Amino acid sequence: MTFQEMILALHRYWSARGCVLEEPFDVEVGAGTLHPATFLRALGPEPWRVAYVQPSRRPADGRYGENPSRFFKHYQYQVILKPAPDDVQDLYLHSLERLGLVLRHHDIRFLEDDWEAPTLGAWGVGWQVFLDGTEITQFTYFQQMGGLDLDLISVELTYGLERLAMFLQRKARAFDIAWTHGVTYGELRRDDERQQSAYGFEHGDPDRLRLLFDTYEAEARRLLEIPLVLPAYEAVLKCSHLFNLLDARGAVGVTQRVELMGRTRALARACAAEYLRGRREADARAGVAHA
Amino acid sequence: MRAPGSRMPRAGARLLLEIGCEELPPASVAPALAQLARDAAAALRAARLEGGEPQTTGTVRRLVLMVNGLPLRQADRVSVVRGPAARVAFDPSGAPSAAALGFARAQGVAVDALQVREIDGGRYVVAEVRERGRPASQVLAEVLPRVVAGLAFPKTMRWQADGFRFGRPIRWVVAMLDRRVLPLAIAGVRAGRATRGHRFLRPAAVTLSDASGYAAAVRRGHVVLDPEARRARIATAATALARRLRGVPVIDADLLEELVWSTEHPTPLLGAFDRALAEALPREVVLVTLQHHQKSFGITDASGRVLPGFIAVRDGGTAHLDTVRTGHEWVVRARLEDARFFLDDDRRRGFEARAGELARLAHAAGLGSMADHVRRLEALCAWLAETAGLGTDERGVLARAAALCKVDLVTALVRELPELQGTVGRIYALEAGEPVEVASAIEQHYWPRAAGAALPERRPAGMLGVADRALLLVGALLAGLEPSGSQDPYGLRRAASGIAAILQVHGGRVGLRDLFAAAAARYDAAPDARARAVGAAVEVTLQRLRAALLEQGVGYDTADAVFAAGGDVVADLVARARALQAVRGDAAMPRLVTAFARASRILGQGQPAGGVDPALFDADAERALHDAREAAEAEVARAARAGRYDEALAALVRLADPIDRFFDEVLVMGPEPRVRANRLALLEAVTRTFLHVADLGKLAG
Repeated sequence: MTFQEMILALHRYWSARGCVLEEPFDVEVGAGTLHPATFLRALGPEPWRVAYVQPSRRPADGRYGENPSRFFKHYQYQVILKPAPDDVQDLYLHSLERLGLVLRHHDIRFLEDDWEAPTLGAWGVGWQVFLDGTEITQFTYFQQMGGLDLDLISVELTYGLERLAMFLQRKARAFDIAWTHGVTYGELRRDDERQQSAYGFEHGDPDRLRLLFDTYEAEARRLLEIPLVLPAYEAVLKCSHLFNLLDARGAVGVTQRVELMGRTRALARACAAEYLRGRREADARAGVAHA
Repeated sequence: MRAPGSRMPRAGARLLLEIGCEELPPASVAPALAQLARDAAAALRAARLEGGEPQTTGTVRRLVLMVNGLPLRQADRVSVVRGPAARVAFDPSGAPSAAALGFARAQGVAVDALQVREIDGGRYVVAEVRERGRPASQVLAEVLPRVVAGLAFPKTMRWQADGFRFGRPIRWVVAMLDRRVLPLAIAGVRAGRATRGHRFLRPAAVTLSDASGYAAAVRRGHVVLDPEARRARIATAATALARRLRGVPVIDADLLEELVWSTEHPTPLLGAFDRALAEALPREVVLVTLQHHQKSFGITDASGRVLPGFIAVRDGGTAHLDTVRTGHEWVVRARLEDARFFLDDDRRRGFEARAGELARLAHAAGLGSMADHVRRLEALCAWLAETAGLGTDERGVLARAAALCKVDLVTALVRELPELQGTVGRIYALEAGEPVEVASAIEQHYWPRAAGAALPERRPAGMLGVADRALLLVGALLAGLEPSGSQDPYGLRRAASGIAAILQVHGGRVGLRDLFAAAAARYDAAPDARARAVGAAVEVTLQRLRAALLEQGVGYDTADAVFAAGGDVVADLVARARALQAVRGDAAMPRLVTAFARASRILGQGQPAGGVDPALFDADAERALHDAREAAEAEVARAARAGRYDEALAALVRLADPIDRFFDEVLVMGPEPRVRANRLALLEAVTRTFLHVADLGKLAG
């Protein structure tokens, strides 16, 4: 099964189970959790089901396209089921069958792994799912988001598409994965990996990145005042990515690191609180009860 | 409580409770099962449903409680209810009054059944009320959900709107008393008679007709219910598989435990990787990669050399084992190749040359960068070398190791395998041509890695470990980060335990107060804040030392007696505690304790003279005690200097006779003020001699 056939199979599967098929968010993020379809929609009492691919950028993990399984950018397949259905583990396992796996032929394990994203004020509990020794999915029951206890518990499934594809196609290097017949992952991705790594590690301009961080932070604050929470949140995501760029560049001192993370966290929390407040007001007008 | 099996099998009903969960955190299952047995026993007793001892067992997916020999009904309860006074209840002719009739009616007994009893000096009418026991199934349905809801997990979660908290979501519940399903629900899940087999080997529900059929049903479902059976399956097969490579498995006890509690049907399998990888990589790198990242056991030959194979444990049967093996081999190879990539990368960049990168690495708890920490470490090590009296060679090793001991934290290999901090430092230091002593000190300054684990072998490593931990402890306390309750995010208690353990062996005469003051001097802080942090660091370290002593079998009151007498030299406190514990059974001890208490009591009643004046003695017993005390004082002081507290105690025990005689023959609080003050001074001197070792007043009888 090619890389894009995997995505199609997962799309068909989760679409049939009531998920909105969202598109990747068009601001740089480090993980699918940062997509507003997860971070904001996990808040509040409304049921929600969504699935999407999210290209996720981690500048410090870039390896110039030379490491077989580390990338500046990788692809996560993200599913949110809110509230978490009782048979969520079985639903997930069936999705693996759609990728052509016969579960009985393998060793599938749910190994304890709790998830925490301090810059989001978010944490959850769950597992890493292992398939014959390869970690293929992060499976999390969210407990808090933006520092807020959640009204309804969402389950987040994050499939590591490269890992899964390497496993299914028996490729030792992600760049050898068949994206589609006759086109490899490497052909599509390697130049970007090389250039983005060079940017992240060598050519990023720390002063300019800091200036951009300050600018987006100020913009986020200004937008929260109005309040325009969705544009504000995009500005926060910019801050988060700029911090990652500075960090990869080795331009963040120890105390500054704590400080920048703290500033990002404060904004993310403010967005969560403001989003929830806005939803509650809207729901109050519409007569929807909150827990 | 009856022993299990003391009843005939049919004499009572059999209870089965199975809580089916999504995969629980492995380390939480055994403690939850122990609590379930304990709490169920207490709850059944309180509910007047006494049968056999509750038994629990389980796996990562199920907590199981079984109780045999339960009655089908609660025992009846007879209680005596007090009514009106007898004189109000009956008229002079003995006929019941309206009050008696009303009371009998209210209690549901016949008026004839009322009795008169003497209570609290008055005569009252009482009714014996018999409360009929309710059916066991009803009572159990009320009691069991409460027991389950009370189970503790290190971290709990919510998964549905009702807010119920547990280790992981509860997905099915079986609750049966013999053939009947108990009418109960836990976390909104109604109990039934359907259990489940292994997730993949027997996905369909298995219906039970009788609680007694449970063990056989789950066995048919390919679940190995007994943790010991799972452990044996893993260990036995691992040994047999390793033999195929003429090797032995390296069985890490924690990993084995985790596998026992993370599988329902463990099946070990043997995998292989390239011999070239086994030869290129340091042994620890291979073993840790396998253990921590692949949950697999490494294999070594008789000489400890790593062999190119591993043992993974599948949760499932033997069908299609080759597919599983291929997958594991594939990822193990990728992991080891990664490690080789990092190793080569690190080697290319050199070792000492990377010390500069420590400026970019944060030390814990806002204590600045690792580079700041290393600067403090070098200064504190210099102080320790001086204070602990290290030789010239040892000082050289300590200084060099202090400069290099954190460098491995910036290497790619430690970033990938953080468990190998220190070990990687040792390997790279040796490759860079550092002396073996320096390399070992780099590795061993992290020892003991856990309570009771191996201590640093030599003093330089020990002093480095003490300095590292003292700076963390004092620095965190200066930052206001005291550990509280079960919260100790920066590992401060662990650091204090490490300090106490190392100083016991390598600390010589280094006092805790001086140590922490020297550590605090490395931080920028106001003098009073420093003093507070030093005090708190001494206190937490003494607490950890006390806990360690109790674990070694020292009585709590022995420890209290020693600590109350003061002192902050760890080796000294430990020697005193051990010596005192050793003589606790001595025949003279009760007399000494009594004498010490008597002396202390009398000392509270008057003002002793500034010193003892033998010219004022008028009784032989006084003189005898004075002479014995002076001899003992010299002996105790000499023994204490030499750390020979057994000899010090022997000298103190010899004081028992003269003290007893003194109290028998001498009236301390006599009429003559100067004589009285002189006798008090003598007693004070006696207690001071004791306080070289311990405050015997703290000893329990």
